[in-house]
Amino acid sequence: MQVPTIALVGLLALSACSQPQVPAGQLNEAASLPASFDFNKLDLRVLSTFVNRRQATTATLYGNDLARQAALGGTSAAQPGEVLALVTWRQQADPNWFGARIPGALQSLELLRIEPGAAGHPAVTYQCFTGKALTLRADTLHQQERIAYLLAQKPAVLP
Amino acid sequence: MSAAASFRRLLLPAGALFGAAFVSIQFIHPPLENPPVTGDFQAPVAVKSIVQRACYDCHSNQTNLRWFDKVAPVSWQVADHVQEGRAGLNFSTWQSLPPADQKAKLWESVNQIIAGAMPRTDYTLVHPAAKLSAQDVTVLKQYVASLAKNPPADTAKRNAADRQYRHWQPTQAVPATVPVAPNGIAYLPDYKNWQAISTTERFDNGTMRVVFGNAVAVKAIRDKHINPWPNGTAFAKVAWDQLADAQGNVRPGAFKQVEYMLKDDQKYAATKGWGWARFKTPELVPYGKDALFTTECIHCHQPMKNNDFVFTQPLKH
Repeated sequence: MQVPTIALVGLLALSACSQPQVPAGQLNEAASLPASFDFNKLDLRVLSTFVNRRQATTATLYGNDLARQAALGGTSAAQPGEVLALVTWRQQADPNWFGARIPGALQSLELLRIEPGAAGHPAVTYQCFTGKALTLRADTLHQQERIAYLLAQKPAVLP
Repeated sequence: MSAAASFRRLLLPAGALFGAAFVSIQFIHPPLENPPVTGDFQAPVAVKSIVQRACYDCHSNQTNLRWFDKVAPVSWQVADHVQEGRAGLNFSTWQSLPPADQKAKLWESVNQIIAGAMPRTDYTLVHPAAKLSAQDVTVLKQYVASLAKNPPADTAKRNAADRQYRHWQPTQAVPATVPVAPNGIAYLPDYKNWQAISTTERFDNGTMRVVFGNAVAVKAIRDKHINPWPNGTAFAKVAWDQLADAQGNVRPGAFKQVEYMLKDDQKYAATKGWGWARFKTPELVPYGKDALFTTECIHCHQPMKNNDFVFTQPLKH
């Protein structure tokens, strides 16, 4: 009896060693937004996604219904109430698929709101939060460029 | 007469019977033939020799059975494995596959190898020569990586995306008739209102993807209860063509497909606890000839069996 038992245990041990070494049940912590930011409260939907190969970043564009309608209509006249958010991550190799890149460290969250301004002209507010803690950046350089970029994006086809 | 003596008296006829049975089952064998090679896999010699050594016994029509593979009842199982292997991937009929499918098969194979799912452990145990070294895996990875070319989008690709965008009617919430996959799973239009739990740039096939999770999935992520995922979890993965410009900025082009995984360990017990479905093109054409299409889904997700068959590492918002 001893020999078959040993052989069986050995066989089991061998097959156990060659089990796939995939981390189980793992969250992508590096890419997660800080809970304190409460992104879900903005109640936005996915509009599109982008990759910048030179910078090795990936981004997801979100918007509320007004922003989505405006982006679909392709009109440049912004309406008060529109909210757009662009979340950008450094890319990392997908640990579960050779051939893919997924979000890595959280890089920035840009938030654009159209508000009623003076003399009937809507006012655009733009904020850029950076880093793992999403700290508001004081620097206003390139703001106009970023506003124009965000307002120019078309939604991806989502049938 | 002692018990030992009667046992000995029984041993001989029992042994003879067993021997006779063993000999006679050798004549029962499912046909395992090597059909003709109609279009063999072509690759650089270093790559081809690895593939031949590690894969060809089950994934080609050039199966090389050793004597111990031919002894019943082992031979029956071997025949089953080979038939199943050839059905999934056959390097002897390789040239009948469109180039995009060839590439997809190669990337999938390399991923199965990296994850340790292939070659099968029960095969390499008795055929140790088929084992792949770290060096072999590197050669295969380099080869498939050399096949991935993602140049800036040409006019045809841009036009296809523009045409599709113009025909898209985003205000139409639900299509007139809801498409249903061959396993009975219907297209769920509500995925657009779910949360994005990850995105993927697939440089192996030139697509980009957003993975959406429903409220149950999002709660499971928040509570860190994602292995296994709770019943009621639903994922939708949307894929588009990549549209790259000369500066390396990539945006979504033509919509390719939306794929679902719906968790219910009772209802979908036969398919690893998940309901699988894929709908292709903006017309949402259900994928698969019959309900057996799910074996393809499960094969590809098999390396993730310790992760409840889910590839995505979700992020929290």
